[in-house]
Amino acid sequence: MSWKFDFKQLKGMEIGEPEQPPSSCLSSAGSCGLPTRIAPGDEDSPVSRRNFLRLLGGGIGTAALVGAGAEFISYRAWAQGSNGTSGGGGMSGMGAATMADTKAPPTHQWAMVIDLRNCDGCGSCTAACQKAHSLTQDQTWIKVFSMEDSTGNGYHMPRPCMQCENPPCLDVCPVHATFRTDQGVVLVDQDRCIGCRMCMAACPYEARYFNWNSGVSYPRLPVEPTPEFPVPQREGTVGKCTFCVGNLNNGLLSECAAGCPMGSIYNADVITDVAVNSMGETVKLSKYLYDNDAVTYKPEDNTHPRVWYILGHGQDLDTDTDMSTNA
Amino acid sequence: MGTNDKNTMGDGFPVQQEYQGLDGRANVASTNGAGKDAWEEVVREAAVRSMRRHGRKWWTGVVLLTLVVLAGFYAWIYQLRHGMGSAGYNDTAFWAVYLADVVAFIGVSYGGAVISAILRLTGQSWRAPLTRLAEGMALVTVLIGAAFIFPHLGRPERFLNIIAYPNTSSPLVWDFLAISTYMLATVIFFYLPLIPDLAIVNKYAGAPGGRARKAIFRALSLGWLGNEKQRRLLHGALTIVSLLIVPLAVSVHSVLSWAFALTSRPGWAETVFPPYFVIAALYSGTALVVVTASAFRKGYHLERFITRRHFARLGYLMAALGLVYLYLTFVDLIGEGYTGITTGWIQQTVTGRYALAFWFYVVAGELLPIVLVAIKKTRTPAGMTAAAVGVVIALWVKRMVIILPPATQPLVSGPWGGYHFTWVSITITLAGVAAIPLLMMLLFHFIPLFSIDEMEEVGYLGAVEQISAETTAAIASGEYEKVPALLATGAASQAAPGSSVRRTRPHLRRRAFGTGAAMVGAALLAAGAISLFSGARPAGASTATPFSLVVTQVTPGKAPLALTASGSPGQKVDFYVKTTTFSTDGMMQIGSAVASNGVAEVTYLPTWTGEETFVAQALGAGGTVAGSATQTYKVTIDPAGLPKSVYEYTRPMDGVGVNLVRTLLGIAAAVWILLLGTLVLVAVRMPRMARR
Repeated sequence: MSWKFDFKQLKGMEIGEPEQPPSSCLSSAGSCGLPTRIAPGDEDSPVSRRNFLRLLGGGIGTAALVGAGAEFISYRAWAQGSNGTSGGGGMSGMGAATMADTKAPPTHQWAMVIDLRNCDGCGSCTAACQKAHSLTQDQTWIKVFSMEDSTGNGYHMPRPCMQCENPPCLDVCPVHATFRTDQGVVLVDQDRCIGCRMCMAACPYEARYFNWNSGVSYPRLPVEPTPEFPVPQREGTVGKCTFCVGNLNNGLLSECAAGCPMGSIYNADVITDVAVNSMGETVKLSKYLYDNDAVTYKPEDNTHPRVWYILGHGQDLDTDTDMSTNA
Repeated sequence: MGTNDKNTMGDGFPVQQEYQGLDGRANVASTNGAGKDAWEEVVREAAVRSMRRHGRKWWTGVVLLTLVVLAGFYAWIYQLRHGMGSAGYNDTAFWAVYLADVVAFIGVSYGGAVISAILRLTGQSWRAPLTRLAEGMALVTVLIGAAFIFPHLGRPERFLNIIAYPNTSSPLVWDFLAISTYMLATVIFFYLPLIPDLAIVNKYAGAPGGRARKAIFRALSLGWLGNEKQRRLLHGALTIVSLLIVPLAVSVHSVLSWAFALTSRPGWAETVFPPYFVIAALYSGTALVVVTASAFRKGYHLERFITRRHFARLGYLMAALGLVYLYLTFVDLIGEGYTGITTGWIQQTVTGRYALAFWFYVVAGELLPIVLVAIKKTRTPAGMTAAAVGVVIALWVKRMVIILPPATQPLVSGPWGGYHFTWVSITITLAGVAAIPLLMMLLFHFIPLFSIDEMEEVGYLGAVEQISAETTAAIASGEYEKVPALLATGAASQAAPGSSVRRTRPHLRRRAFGTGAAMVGAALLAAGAISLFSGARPAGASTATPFSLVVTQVTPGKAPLALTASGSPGQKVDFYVKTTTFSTDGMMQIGSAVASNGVAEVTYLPTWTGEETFVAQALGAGGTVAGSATQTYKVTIDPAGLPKSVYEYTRPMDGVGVNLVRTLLGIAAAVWILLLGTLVLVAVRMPRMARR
């Protein structure tokens, strides 16, 4: 299975490049081995990244909502700040004014919700991820951190790659080895990576792990490693959480979500507005985020993560929202 | 400038006695007499000392240094085979010793080149015995510094990807561009002043070397005769390159610092970093010039050329730069330290595990050199050399202290990471250190130790002492009583008009100004507009089937859907939409309602246009499903009402980014054209001028 990606689509390559039509790999399902599920009605016109850019002008105001030193930003504050007309169970106001010239909806935009109320820090997600990707003990693509809230109580926070919408790792990579797919997933091409580790310096979440040592034994696999499924890892290059995007495109949960016995980790799709966890709970993503005051981590770094956290342990939150929900 | 040592022009070297009439007075007084010839002989003999057959000491040095360098290569091969973990790296200390080496080595190179360039541009005649050594040091260290990028990379064999797939938003791409441009400039800057010397050495009877050397020198000297036109051409070319070297080196170290400062890491994301790195480079570079000068002075007995005054002046320069660097270090620490927002790395630096290294820098790299320069008794070649060695080592340690604490700090939570030296990283670093003297010794085996042409041009007094033309004239005419006053005023003009006391060369007074304007003029600016395209909106048709579940659009074409289900009064009805996103039969609950008046109704905001399957389940007693109804509905939503999360972020620099990149690339192209054009111009025109 050869893997090809049109790098002209990516940021930083826009110098002198005319508007490129999306590559065949992105426009039709299966043509490059990606079983991309296309939404009905947009088989022939996936949305280009440019359209997204324009779509989301409303998102810039987000940063202004962040209080000084606030570690988390509330999803509700974010939604309200964007257009102010959020109501009931939806988020109808989200950047509505800027949506006017949308051409067609994109296929999928993968996201994740981690409900910290249920996480007991067992580490099953880490173990499942390491097993599936043949990682070493040190390579915790999803790592459960022991945190402390403002009252001094401890809680656990699993940290996958945040799949940032504005990924600092992507900007600093000198050779475009890090790229972002039009499903919103940030991946690493380990056949191109030169191992400079600039991305590790840039990532504010410590989500990147280098393959320091040769001689790590891997099980033999019938397929060559791809950016979507980089197994085995290549020595001398950087690896990180891929969101198990191959699983997601095949209607499966990611390894960490499937491996979580508490159902804390939800895989989500922003387009179809669905989130699902290992307990089979299927929720409407936007409503779930809104109702539970979901937040993103380190908004001050302007990364716009695709991973939302649901708090519930008295963590600092930069809103006046009543934190009444407690599982 | 002292007033009482006009007879002792340096390191206890008595002018009158040793030269026996060939002192500065005699030299400057006669433009074509025996004095000039004798001075030339002295200079030439000394300059080619390094080219002669070498003694046992030299060979021992070369062999030992080569062994250390070979050990470094062995360690690198070991690292390639076993991975970078063998050099002590881990996921917290992802940047460590090799990057410190890159920064430190390229830094000292910058110091050597800039000192030479600035002294040349300001017409400091005392530079003459130092420039060749400084430029040679700059050349050698920039090569070694650039070579350290290879052990730093996890995949060195893919290094050329940076040319094949450059990401212009990465500081490392600009690092590569800046360093390679600077390397080109360093090579040219080393070669141009060499041209006259190659011709002189070829003519000099006392010069060692065989036919091959003569042939190569003849080719490279471009037919140098030393006539007026050739001198003017060479001087113009040197002025251009000197003018370029200074901003180039500033750019190299600024961009190098942005590899750190353009991340969000506390301790690296500092606005002070670019000047911080530039000054560190100048400071350590000046120090290494002192060490180099000291070593060659001792090794080739150049005491009569490189004098105590040279060391004192470089010492002053070093101390001034050291104070600026100390100030910038304080600036770096006080900002975050005061507000206390992210003080972990400061605590680790000042009192934690890096405290020993940090305070070593403060003592050996700042206090000690400044004290040694401040006290007149220690302002000797030995004292300055000791200070400089301290600075060079301490500044390398300082680079480690800059790199490690912010790298190893926990960004989320948990313990601090750490770096541990292994024999691999130590051996490779030591090999780089050993490569400096080795390459310098080999380099100067083939070329003269200092610029013979410049030395002859400035004369003895010019070389060892910077004095004004008036002072020279006063000395020449024997008016010694005027000298102290003249020296005190420090007038630095090269030669008084009409004065015949010095060998006048008019090109020295002609400055090639305005060359910088060409650089700015060549900068390309182009406007790039991002065009957005818009296309047809997908149309949809509603096919509502009468059933127990009815889906309608409240306003045709608008987003909210009304789901109405029939049910017995008081019955609870759950509404779902089927989703295939994560499974084949996912049921996403979109609401529930109690059927009052036999009708349960919810509204639903679909997020996309397309066919959706809705399910209504009437709940019976005990949560059992009493009745179920399904309806497929082709949702058509007005994009204006599309409720969607903000899933793409518009980057603030997107608009200017392209133009910024084009401008910077244009400037870089202009610099390359200017550098190569200068070289080509010299190479083409110089031989023609010889024929006329």
